[in-house]
Amino acid sequence: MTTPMNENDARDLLAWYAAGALEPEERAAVDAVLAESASLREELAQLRVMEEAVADTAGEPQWNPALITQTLQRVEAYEAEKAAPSGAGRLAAWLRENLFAGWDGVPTLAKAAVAAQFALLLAVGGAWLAQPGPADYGTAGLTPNAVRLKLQFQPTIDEATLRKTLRELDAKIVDGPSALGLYTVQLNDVERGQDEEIARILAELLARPDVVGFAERGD
Amino acid sequence: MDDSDARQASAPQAAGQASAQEAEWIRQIADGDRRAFEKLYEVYGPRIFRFAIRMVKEETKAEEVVNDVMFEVWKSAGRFEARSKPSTWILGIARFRALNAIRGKKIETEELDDLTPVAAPLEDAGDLMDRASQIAQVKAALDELSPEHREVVELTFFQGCSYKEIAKIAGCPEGTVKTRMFHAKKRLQPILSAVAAGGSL
Repeated sequence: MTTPMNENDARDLLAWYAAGALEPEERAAVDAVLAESASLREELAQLRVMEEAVADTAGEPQWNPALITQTLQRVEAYEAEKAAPSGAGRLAAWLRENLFAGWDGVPTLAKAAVAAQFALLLAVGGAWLAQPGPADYGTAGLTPNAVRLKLQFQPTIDEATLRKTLRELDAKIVDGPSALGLYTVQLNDVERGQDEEIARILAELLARPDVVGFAERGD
Repeated sequence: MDDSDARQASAPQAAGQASAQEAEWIRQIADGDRRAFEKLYEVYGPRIFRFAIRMVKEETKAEEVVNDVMFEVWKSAGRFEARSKPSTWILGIARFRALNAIRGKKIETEELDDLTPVAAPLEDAGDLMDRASQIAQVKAALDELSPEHREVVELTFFQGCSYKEIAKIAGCPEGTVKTRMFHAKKRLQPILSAVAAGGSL
């Protein structure tokens, strides 16, 4: 027995009906509405045009299967560096492939050189970094219902800029970095439902590409 | 009922089998299996490339996205816990990389994007154009969508993702996915309507 669906709900699902990406129950419910609604059938015909256009790859660059060779070379280099006995070498490999992953326009050798220097700096400063920091810089537990953002900080920013940014946001890092280099940041003075305020904060962050490479809501 | 019903009825079972096979390849990749990586690459390389080229609109950058995504898959395979489908996981990485690749360009906000319909190019207006030309004009209109709207259209119609999968890939509520599709349809409505009616543009 299919649960009846109104026309607006069916319209919301129509694109996925056209694409064959609905659950069987949803599909049956949309079928029932389509049988009764000429305007919905008309919209389905329009979506078929959209589907045809999306499926058409004429005139677009074609996939180059040889690209796998480049990726496999990268994999082999990564595995070789991981297996290397030098801790600094392994750290440099990790930094080059993670921290600098989105660093477009910089030659690979330059990235490698900077990563190696950064690894050395981290090694020297490791003891200092291990000391307890100010309260606004540590990671903390997740608070239910808090507003959280996913942020990727630019690899070029220094610690002072990071602290300043967190203070301005009145936020604290609660998780990260993820495999993609994303930090989860919890806002202290904003609650869920304050969508305009959250959108404003995200817009401000994205307007500072020298500090933040990526920002989106994460709760 | 639709002409594609038969195809769609068998699709979930086939998709489930493919998903299980892909999850097994990812498990093997976590153990360092290059052959499994190559098999997964053969399936996802072309899919990621098509998604990336339409988001980034530059061949070289699209290839970099594929390279970065599949390398990320290699490094992170051990952390894949199969709580989502392999396609959801991989396309989620692809979306992130594609947005990173275009972050230097101006990205229209949804609010600005919603204001006006995408204008159909008017060359040959008044003439009955052949189907290929009409589809080419629809593709040109698709290119004018914002990244947020374009990704929903691509993930739906090219990648075959459900709205629930897209919500996971994009990290947003399901309602947001539906809203983005609504606005994409609204912007393209004039040209879609004209082509669907079989008339001239």
